Amino acid sequence: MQSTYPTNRHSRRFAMVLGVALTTTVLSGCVGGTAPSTGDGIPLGDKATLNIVSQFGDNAALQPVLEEISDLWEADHPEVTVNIQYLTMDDEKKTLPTSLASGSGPDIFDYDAAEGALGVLAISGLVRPMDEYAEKYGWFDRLSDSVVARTTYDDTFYAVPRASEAVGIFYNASMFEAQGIEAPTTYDAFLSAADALKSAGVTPIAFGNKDQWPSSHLVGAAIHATVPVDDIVSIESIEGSGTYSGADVTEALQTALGWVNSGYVTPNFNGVSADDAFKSFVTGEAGMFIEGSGYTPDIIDSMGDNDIRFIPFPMINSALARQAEGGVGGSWAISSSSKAPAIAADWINFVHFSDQAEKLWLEAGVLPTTDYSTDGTDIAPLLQENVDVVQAASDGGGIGRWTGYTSSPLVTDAWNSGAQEFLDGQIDATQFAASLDDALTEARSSSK
Amino acid sequence: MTQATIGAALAGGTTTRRAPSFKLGARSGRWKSYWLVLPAFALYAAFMLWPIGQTVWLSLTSWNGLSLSPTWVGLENYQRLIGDERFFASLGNNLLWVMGSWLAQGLGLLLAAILSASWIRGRTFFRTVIFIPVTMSLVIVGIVWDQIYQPNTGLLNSGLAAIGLDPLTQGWLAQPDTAMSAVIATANWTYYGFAMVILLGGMQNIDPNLYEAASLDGAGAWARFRHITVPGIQNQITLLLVISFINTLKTFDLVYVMTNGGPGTATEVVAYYIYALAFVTNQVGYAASAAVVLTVIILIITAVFLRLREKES
Repeated sequence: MQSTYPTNRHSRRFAMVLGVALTTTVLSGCVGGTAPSTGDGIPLGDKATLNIVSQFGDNAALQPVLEEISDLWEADHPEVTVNIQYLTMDDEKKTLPTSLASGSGPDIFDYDAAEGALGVLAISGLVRPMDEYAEKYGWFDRLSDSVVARTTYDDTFYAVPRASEAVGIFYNASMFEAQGIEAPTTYDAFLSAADALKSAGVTPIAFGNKDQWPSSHLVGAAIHATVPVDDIVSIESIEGSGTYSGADVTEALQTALGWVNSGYVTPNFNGVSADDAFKSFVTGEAGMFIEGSGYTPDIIDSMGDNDIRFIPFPMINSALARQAEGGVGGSWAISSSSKAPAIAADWINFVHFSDQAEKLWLEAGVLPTTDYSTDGTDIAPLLQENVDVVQAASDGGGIGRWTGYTSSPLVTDAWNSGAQEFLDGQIDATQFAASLDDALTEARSSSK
Repeated sequence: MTQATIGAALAGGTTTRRAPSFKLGARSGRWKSYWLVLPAFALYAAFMLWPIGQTVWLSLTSWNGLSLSPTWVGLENYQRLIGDERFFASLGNNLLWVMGSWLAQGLGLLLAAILSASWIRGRTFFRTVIFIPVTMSLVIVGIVWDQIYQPNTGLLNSGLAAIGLDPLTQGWLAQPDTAMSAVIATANWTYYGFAMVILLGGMQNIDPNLYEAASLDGAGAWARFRHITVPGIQNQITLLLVISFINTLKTFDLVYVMTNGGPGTATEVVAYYIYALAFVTNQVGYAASAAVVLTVIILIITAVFLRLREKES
């Protein structure tokens, strides 16, 4: 009897055809990555659509500012349609790299200006070099060398740094006044203020490290008050030779741990989110908040400009001139797959460098990365204090780096888990520094 | 073809005339069957075989997920994985989670035994209420329980304080010695209702005469449960063990939402570690090798489980 089912010969043939087809497709390796486009693409003046991804998903107060500035540019370029998508920084980090690699990314995106963030995308060929546009529009004349260096990798300029930032101390002025505490200008005064707040039953420093990155700012404040900026830059860069195991960094780590052990920070901080820590500060449950000036728009938005003041974190190593953790927060970059890079560059030029834009950004709490002067501008006192802190550090020892978040994702990953363990007392400063150095060594060796 | 011809064919015509048409029909039928299977197979190949093949291939490369071309490194990723303490620590957390899920199954068994008793009033109501957490999205569950575990404002610590158990209040997700248990407890909250329903189904298939006969022979409630109920639901227990094992080994969402693997790496499970390797530190090739190993582990243990069960049967 002849079977109506396939014979073995037919099965084998069918399987073979499918096998070859599968093997071919698998081995063809259609995995990510698109060849970067070259040339200027659609010229300025032609009809085009600009798709933009902004990091302001975290910062609703800045979204209307960007819309307003972009609308001003669109008024002069009615032939261009601008679509802006807002993502949180976290969501952007998770989704943008793969969409850029698949060639479906936006024309312009706002991304962390660090070797371990934007630098990774740039070196992978996903970001369009901007030197030609910087020359054309004169951006290098408006940006300082230290700012340009933040987005320059392999001697190529890749993005326009969007906002200056520095870590300092936000403090609740009315609470300080009620407790008879002076704003701390020295490290000893800072410790005395923390003790006084603790005695008054108030959490001295609002700190939530569940999201892992806040430890970079708290511990980073101690490091930047102890270690010279040049040494920090050497540690926090792939090309550098510095390590976290140096005596001064270890001493700074111990200092930060001392704040925890003294009961200065929010209890159970590894279970408290950054948002909850911020809320505890603005609702008066904590007296100080050691964070970046980037929080200012949120503070003004939620509290006005009454109770909160911003001062530099006092230097622990008194031999050093004033310096601060920080750098730039975000940068405008053009994706290498953009079909309209010339139009994108013109949009960036207006949105970041025009007088109208600079004024609106500053009034909204975004500190300029250019030579834009705040003289004659009517800005909130808290904002002026932000400018002063950045200026004082720039004029002194300099603004360093985002601790653990600058050189490589490997170091950032080691920082995130290690800092939680270190501040919780599970590992000591030497072990923490060694784990960071292991990651740094791996990052440096894999970059060669 | 006329009716007469058809009738003749059915009645049995000459072999020489019928054979070619039969062969042609069979061949056509064979190819038809292939074509019928093809759409399903194409979907399976596109969404299962292709990604699996690609993952295996990527596991033999070094790739950051962004550059144009991965670099072939052979078995280097697998060699590195053998010495990766973090991988094995996260696998250990998975196994801890597996054991934790057995508690949920035990609770499910207990509830099923209680709610199968005919004298309980409102059984349907209780079964429904207990099953509700199963229907919820794990992400939503994670967010809600994260709030419940909040050290300073969470419901758990507030509740403990309200009944005078202040010394027990703590940062449930902040401490490495409680974080894993807290996450597992959350997972179990969504699972024990499912276990209860599956086991109830098994219990309802047990012949009531067996219980009656056992009672007449003087068997108490425990003896009836031990010697009638448990053997009668062995298939359901095996099913639950396999399901919980697979689900637990591939678990990701609760850890992602509640702890990010922290504090430190205290709650890091393999799937989260794979995610971190691929999308945080851009080591896609290495992450693929860990994914392949995890898949092989799940396949082996599942096969062993099922084989043992077959032998027992």
